[in-house]
Amino acid sequence: MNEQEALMRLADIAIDLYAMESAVLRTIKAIESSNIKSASLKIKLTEALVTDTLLRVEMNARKLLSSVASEHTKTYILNNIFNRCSELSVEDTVGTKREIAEAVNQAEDYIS
Amino acid sequence: MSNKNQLYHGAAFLYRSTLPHEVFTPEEFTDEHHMIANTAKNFIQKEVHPRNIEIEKQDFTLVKSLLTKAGDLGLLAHSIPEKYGGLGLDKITKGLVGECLGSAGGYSVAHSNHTCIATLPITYFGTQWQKEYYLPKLATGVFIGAYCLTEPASGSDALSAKTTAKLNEEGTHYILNGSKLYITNAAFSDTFIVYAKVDGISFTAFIVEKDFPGISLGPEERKMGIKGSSTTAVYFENCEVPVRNLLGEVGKGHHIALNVLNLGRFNLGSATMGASKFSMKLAIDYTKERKQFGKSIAEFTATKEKIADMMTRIYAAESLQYRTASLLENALGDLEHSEDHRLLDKRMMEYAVECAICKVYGSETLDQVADESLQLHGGYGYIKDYAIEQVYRDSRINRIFEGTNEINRLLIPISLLSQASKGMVPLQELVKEASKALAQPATLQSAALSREQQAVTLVRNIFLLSIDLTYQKLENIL
Ligand SMILES: Cc1cc2nc3c(=O)[nH]c(=O)nc-3n(C[C@H](O)[C@H](O)[C@H](O)COP(=O)(O)OP(=O)(O)OC[C@H]3O[C@@H](n4cnc5c(N)ncnc54)[C@H](O)[C@@H]3O)c2cc1C
Repeated sequence: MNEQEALMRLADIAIDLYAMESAVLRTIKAIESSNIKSASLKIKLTEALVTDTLLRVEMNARKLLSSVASEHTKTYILNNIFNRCSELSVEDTVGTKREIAEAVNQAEDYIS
Repeated sequence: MSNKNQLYHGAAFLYRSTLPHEVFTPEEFTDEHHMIANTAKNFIQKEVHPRNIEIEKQDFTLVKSLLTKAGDLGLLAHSIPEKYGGLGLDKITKGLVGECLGSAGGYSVAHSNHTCIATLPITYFGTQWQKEYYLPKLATGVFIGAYCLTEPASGSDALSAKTTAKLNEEGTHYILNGSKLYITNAAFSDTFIVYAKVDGISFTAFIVEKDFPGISLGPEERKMGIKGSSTTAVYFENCEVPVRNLLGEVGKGHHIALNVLNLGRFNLGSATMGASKFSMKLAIDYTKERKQFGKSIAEFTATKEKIADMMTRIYAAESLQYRTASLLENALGDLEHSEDHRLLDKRMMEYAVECAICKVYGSETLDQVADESLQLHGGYGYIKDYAIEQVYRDSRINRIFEGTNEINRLLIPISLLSQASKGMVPLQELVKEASKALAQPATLQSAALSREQQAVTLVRNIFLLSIDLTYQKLENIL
């Protein structure tokens, strides 16, 4: 099979999609069935996950598209991807991650 | 949970969104789920962890006796119907038991190999006699099982196996010749699910017992990790297998091999997620205890970042694992007693993409978590007295067996491309929509997780555009 490099990047994006969507849906379901406060750690985990995942997806997409897009559409497509990802990548996760770690250290085990 | 028309659309997450009420989450475990999880956790903590030194020294008599004990507690029986001496529990329970076993290194591999790829071929594809004879023994641990697919010259390319089977003149036995490599549990197995080509052509599965004439084992392999599981070559030299031990149909062995691997991959996702939790717990305990520069290393913000990164990956792994468990349950729950092999085949393959993701995401989460957990131990992590040293060695195999992560990755886009080429997914229309959306600036809202929901849609659109452009480049070769 040719173009395995492209297939690998597609797989990476697909895996990240399933992972982030599963976490987002779970957290929304938790908010809906209880309340925002009791789901606060889940919300932080989801925010941090999505921010990190989005960066990786953008990198994989740019690698992939710069090899499979045609020359005359490439710049347009890559600009769109860059702009859309940037709009959603504004979150500063340093504080969020510290809070996650503090919650885990207090529980002394995995919790969510 | 999913409504009817959402059922059985494997890989649909790649091109359409899902609503929160359609996914199953760990917050919805029932009392029965919690009960069996506690049984599994207790068993591991009280019976397996305390014997770890002997297990690591490959005391297989002990490993086998632990498996029998697990059998007494019902921990080998979740995926066997009640009718055949099992418990007939759902795939969520299967996932939970897999997760709880995750912390037990080589024992966990031996246990899961038995309940999963060594038992399920008979559960789903066995004849009446095979189910009645073998399943009650496998459910209780009277028999332990192995799964023999890999050969010296056929690993990832599993269907190129060279082992042959020939019906004898009397028509009473198939005569098997060939060798299988790296077979888990071989040293103490009673049954071997063996794949061989009838007349050198038709890929077929057989149930071979350890006492059948002509089967023998190679020496124990000297492995990097998972030492509590036995791994040897298995040889067949004019091995006589009664015709009633033919499993499924002649020429249909690849269906059994691949279908069962799907569930194996799902299970591996559970086990690696459980092992990740265990590994992170070791890191948390150690970093709170250890002091440098006048404070515990857990207080350094670089440590906090590492712990938070472990947490987010594990949270995602757990979420996708139980979402998949419920998809599998919906597809397979009512087929326990089905004799319709084609229907079984279809339902078992439906979620091949999701199962591949469970395997890849879980095993790579574990590798990252084990690596950083060891790093947080500093030099102590490199010393065998600390449990993290073993976790690190045990984790590495998970990216290799049950289909390497490369093979599992390739399967993901290729599945969707083949669905699209059969007209099952309107890829062109979806791509048009996705391209349009990618040209529109986002409108941010303040509701909780609205950014995250938009990010999911964005990633889906990026995926669709990317697969379309790849497809155009690939078109001539597919
Ligand atoms: C401890 C242990 C236990 C095992 N237990 C069992 C068992 O119980 N039963 C059983 O049947 N087998 C078992 N195996 C075998 C295992 O499943 C195989 O090792 C695995 O499938 C890979 O096959 P291989 O080792 O021949 O590697 P190869 O197939 O030779 O692969 C080598 C490398 O090439 C890559 N590669 C191969 N093909 C492609 C391709 N088309 N495109 C891109 N990259 C490719 C692979 O990803 C890998 O990185 C076990 C192995 C080990 C080590």
